[in-house]
Amino acid sequence: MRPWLDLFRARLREPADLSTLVHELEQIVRAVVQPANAVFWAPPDITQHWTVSGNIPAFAPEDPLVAWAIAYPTTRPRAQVPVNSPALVALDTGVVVPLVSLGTFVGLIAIQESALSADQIATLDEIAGLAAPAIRVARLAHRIDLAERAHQTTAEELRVAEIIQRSLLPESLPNIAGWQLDAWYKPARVVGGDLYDIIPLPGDLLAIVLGDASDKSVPAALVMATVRTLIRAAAQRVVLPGQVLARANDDLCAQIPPGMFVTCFFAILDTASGRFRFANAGQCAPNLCGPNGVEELSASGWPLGMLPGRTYDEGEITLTPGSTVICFSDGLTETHDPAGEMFGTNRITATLAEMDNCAPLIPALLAVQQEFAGPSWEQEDDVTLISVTRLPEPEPIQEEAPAEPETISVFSVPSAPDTERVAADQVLAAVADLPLTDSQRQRLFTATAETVMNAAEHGNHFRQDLSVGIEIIRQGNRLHVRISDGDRGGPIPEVVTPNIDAKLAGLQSPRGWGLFLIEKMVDQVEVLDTPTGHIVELTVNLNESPGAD
Amino acid sequence: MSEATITTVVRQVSPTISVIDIGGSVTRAADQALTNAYHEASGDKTRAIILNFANLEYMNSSGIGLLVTLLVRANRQSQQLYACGLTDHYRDIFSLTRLDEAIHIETDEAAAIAAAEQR
Repeated sequence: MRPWLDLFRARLREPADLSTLVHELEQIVRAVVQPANAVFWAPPDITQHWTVSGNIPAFAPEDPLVAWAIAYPTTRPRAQVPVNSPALVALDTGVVVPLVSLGTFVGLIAIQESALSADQIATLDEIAGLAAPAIRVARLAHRIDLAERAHQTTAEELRVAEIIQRSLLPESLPNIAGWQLDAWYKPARVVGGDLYDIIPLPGDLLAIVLGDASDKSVPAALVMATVRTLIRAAAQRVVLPGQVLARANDDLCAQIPPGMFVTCFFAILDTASGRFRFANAGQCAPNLCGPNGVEELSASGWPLGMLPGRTYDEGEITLTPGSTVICFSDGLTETHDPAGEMFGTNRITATLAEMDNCAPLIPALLAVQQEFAGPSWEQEDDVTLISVTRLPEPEPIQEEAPAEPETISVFSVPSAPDTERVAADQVLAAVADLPLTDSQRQRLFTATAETVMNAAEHGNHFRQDLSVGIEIIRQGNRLHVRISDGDRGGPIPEVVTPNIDAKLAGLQSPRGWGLFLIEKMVDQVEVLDTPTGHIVELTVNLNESPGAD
Repeated sequence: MSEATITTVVRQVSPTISVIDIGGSVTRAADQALTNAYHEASGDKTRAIILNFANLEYMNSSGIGLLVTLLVRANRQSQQLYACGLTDHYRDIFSLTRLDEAIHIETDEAAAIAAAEQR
């Protein structure tokens, strides 16, 4: 007996799953009581790993045998088990070996052989004492494993549902001249029950949909997918928003699960005229932010999917340039603050009233909502917003007569090394009153100095009889500094863009930065070759419109 | 007309780091002075040379050419060049010319020394 027991004990020290443990328990029991038949009466998740023979009654946790085994967890002949147990009768057993660990009934081995030796019974008792806790723990681990797998499957399914649902939302909003459409959508769970849609219709028409299913997560998303299809189909067949909702309602009533419904705002916008016709199946009333302030666009109607044969009121406005319609789901209005107060529609109206109608209204509303809800807010419901803005008409561009050039200063400097700083200082002094930033002044200084240096060195070759001429002219909002030399030897070479890598590698001269710098320092550089020499004109755009100073 | 002049002061701030204080004008006339200062700053153990431009008055394209020449020398000797104390305008020029990719720019000398010590 002993070697079997030692082997079993050693085996239990190694990690084993439930099926392995039960299998090994069976092996050792059969080895100890051979050749008698032994069956295992236990919860089905444990007995399924036992190689069964004979008729085993279904496990019944309420059978008195279970309570008895927990109270007396030792191996006994059948005659010493004084309980009226249907299982015990059906098992037709000679000896029972209860497996109990920490008060949990793990199972009961029924051995049909009754004439077991005391040594066999003691060994079985010891086996049961070793096996019961091991099986209990392995069973627990198995259950956790199953639960984790189920959780992973659910998470994966939700992720797929989210991908499908996202694919039902518009990938991008139409870009229509004179209009700005924006939308924002955030589900409370991985998968949401809100829906928005923008449907291009023939002509200049555009349908705008915002819906909210009465449930959340996957069931709501499935219903919203159906609603989207029904609305899209109806919008192609009928023209008026009320008719679209009525038709979608009739179709949905036949398909929606009991107890569910969908609120839905539906509008048709004529982007040519700004005509905006709408109907509403119980969704939050959108706001018009127009010349008369903030107005509610109300139209009554039953939510979709409750009762067939409903009709829907229609409303109509014209979106004038500079007006916005903003639609939102109740996830926004029903946001609660930490004290439990609801965000409501008044805060929305107040926020919109303070804003420019064409400003980004959605971010502004979300910011106010976030502030109201506080940092520890957990989103309760899906939040969806759509804004439709008719942009202000651009003001006609007024043709301006070119301003008269005004000469500010004319002077010259000698062609000598380092003369450029004198010239540049003088230019800056001459333009001191002009509207230039500090950066523009420093850049003009550098550009002038570099150009004068080139004129003196490369144009005039530092000849004392040739000077560098400088003329400062303002024309409207442009400042021109014309720098001339007396070089009649041909055009100024093209700028070769200096490359620091090539210079460091010795492939270009370390010098040669002058013309490059001049071009970078001012808004425009023009070079004129004249019979008397070169003229380089540096142009800087002034910061004010002409006549402003 | 007086020629623009450069002033240079060389300081060794650690066995491996030297600082050249550059004042006045960095133009073509500064060539010799800058070369001398570089040689003075560059010892056997020198790994980093910091050009401190806090007192710079003027630098033109010829001056930029001189810095490129210094860079070539420093690269040959496996030394790093740092620049500090540049005004926004000259930082702008270092950026336009991409000099700032070859010379490490720091706001002040302490930052340049700290950066040089970390390398």
